[in-house]
Amino acid sequence: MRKTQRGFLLTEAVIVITFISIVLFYLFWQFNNVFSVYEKSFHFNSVDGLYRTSEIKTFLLKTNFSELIQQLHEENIYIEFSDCSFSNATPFCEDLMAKLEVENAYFIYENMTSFINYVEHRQDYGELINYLDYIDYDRNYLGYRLIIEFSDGQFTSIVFL
Amino acid sequence: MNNRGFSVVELIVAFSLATIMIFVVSELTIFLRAEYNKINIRSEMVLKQAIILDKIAHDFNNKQVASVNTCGDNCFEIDFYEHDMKVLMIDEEEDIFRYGNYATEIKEEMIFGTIVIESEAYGSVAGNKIDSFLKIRIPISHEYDSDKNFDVLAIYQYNSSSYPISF
Repeated sequence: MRKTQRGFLLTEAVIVITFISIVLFYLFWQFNNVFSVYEKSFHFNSVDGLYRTSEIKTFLLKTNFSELIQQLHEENIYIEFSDCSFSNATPFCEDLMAKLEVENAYFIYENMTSFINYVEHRQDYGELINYLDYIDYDRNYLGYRLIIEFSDGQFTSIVFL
Repeated sequence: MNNRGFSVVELIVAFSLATIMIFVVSELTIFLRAEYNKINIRSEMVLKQAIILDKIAHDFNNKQVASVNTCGDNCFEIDFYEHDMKVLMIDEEEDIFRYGNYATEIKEEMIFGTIVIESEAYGSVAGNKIDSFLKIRIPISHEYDSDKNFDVLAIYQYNSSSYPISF
């Protein structure tokens, strides 16, 4: 009986260690969440990225927008046009894409459901899946959306009203 | 006798726990402080980048550029067809960036590189309203966040036959 009243028990020590570990882990996890959200704000829809995307949108609207829509209807889910294969102003388009440091350019429907399904079932789209998860879209809107991935890892998108 | 004070084992356990706690908490504090500083710097730089870009893009979207001329080191005069002229420059003596009426201080840790203005013309492209573009790049970085650049990249797309630019 006297022996059980002496100092710490192993059980007490384990409980304290577990409690402290949980508190520290929870703190770290919470702060990490805050930082990762903040990090996303620098990589997803940044001001600089939106500006560059709007320049691509301007180019498309002033040149090949109808061709792009027609091609999207034929391809059904999306068009990747960073190589400017659709454009009749190819050298200009290619240079513009290079100057704006575009890695991938996707032209899709505003209702992105089929595009998201397509991307989710493939391994080679990397961070794009996280970006699609990050943005909101209107399932009922019949417009189009431009998603641009830049060479520095940024993603931005603009809707065509 | 058995109930008095701490045994050696108890002390070792207590000190070990305290050491681990101090180590983990200090690591966490150092990490949080570094992240906080990094985020502060990035916010400030992104804000500066956005304001400069907004000023230039506003003119490029609403006016037609007529000519671009140099006016010294890191200094360009941009003339618009709308009878307006803006000076884009980095005043290295006063550590100030200027574009038109806008001026912002370049703090000690901020690094503003050499402004690069390039023009690319592709001649007339059938059916297209634009065939050329002007590119302005202002390299901006921060001493304490060297893994990210905050360059301002502005593009002006135009039709060279309607609004030619002398460069």
